[in-house]
Amino acid sequence: MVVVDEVFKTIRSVPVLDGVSAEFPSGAVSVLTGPNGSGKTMLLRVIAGLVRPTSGSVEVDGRKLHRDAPFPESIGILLEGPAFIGSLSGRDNLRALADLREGVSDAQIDDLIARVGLAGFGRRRYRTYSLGMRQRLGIAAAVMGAPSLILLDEPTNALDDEGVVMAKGVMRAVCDAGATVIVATHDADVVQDVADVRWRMAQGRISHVTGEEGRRHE
Amino acid sequence: MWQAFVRTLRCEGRAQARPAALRVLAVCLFASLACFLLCAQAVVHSGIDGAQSARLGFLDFLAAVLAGEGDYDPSLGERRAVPVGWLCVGVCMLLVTLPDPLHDPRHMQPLTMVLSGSRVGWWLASCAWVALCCLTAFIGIVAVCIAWGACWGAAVPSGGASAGLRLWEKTPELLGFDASAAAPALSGRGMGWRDVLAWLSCSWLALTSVCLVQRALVAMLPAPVAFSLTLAMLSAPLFVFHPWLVGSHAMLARSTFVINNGFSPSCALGVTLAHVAAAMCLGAAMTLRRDVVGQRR
Repeated sequence: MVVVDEVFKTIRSVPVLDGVSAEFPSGAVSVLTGPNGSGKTMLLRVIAGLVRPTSGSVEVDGRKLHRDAPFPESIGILLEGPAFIGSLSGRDNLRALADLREGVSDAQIDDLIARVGLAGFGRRRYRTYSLGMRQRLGIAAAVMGAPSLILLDEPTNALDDEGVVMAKGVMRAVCDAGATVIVATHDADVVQDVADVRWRMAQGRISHVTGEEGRRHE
Repeated sequence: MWQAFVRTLRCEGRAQARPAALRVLAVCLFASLACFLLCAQAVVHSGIDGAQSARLGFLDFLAAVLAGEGDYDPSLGERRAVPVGWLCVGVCMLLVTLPDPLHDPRHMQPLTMVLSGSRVGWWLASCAWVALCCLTAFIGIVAVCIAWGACWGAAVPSGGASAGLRLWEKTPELLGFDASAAAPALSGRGMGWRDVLAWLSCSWLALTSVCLVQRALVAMLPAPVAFSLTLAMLSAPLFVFHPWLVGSHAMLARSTFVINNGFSPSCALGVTLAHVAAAMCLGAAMTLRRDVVGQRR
């Protein structure tokens, strides 16, 4: 559960977040929509602990960021597109990141690579990956180790139809496992069928679009 | 915090070992080239002056890479010999520690910082990685010099820790720096193994402190700007003879073992540790209060 309370963020006198208050429940996919520059990515950065709000607070699973902990305790992120080390294979990139988490085995990494549709490509160097493959690896890195909070910024960028289905499947699976999933996208149609809670952002402000919707598969 | 430190360092080692090893290899190649040039100069010199055979020892090869430049006084009208070998090795050392995707705000920094769970632990791991890379490169340099010495047939002085390592009397002239004949490296007493170890430690610390300053600057400025500023800091002692210029302490030609008014190891230790502390504190302060707002590559 993530609770954002009256968060303001001003960068060089420009308000980027303007009194954002929202709740993102556990076990649900919350989708943030809005045009470019509306503050979606900045809100994700604030929730991740990468950006300190000018005022207001963020609480993740009962712990206030920057007071109780600098970052959420268990988190996976895909922000502003994937960024990995080009000279390493996709698998080695994930292996390196797994060192920052507890208890992720090589077998789990191989499973994850297969799950995002990169089976057979895991040992290829990252720099040889297409944009879509990079995005798939970014999704794999975000959900690796089953974190309790997952932040995905434009997760369907560069993905083909099959990739979009895969991304939605992964979101639904981690959500069913109890994680809080927050997805920011400018294209609400792409992920509308996976959204449980919808928020809309415009000019740094947030508004609730609908209540918790029934899941599509129900 | 310590858990974050250990995890980040482990991640860094796994992710960066291969590219860092290639850059360390480049440092060793430059060091080898400097040793080769010294040999070539020594052979040519011996050919001209038949009476003087080229008696190069281990210290001469270390000097070929790490001598730097003595106190240059332009008013004396002497021709200046810029220490190209020393400068190349210094630049390579900076380049060994400059590219770091795990700490690049436009690369993996947001991910690694968040996953580490602690900003301070993450920063300390970054500093430790810089120090490890510098140490590896420095050990590589020393190994190259020892290998060249062994190939040249340099004699190993007997007598344990007090045994003297000396510079060949023509080495300062070949490498273009002034040396005082009374200083230990050129006198009959020579430098003991402990002296050499003390000087090498200070030299490594000096280069490490410059690299740490670079890492701290990278936290505030674009990498090319940070590199240029640090390079200016490293090469400043070529123009000014002052103990507070940390690059001086990475030069054998400015140590008290080679020139009478040189800098002692204790002075080098104080100055370099002050730089290390300043760089680490500055970087930690920046890391703690900075918003990580990356840009798309």
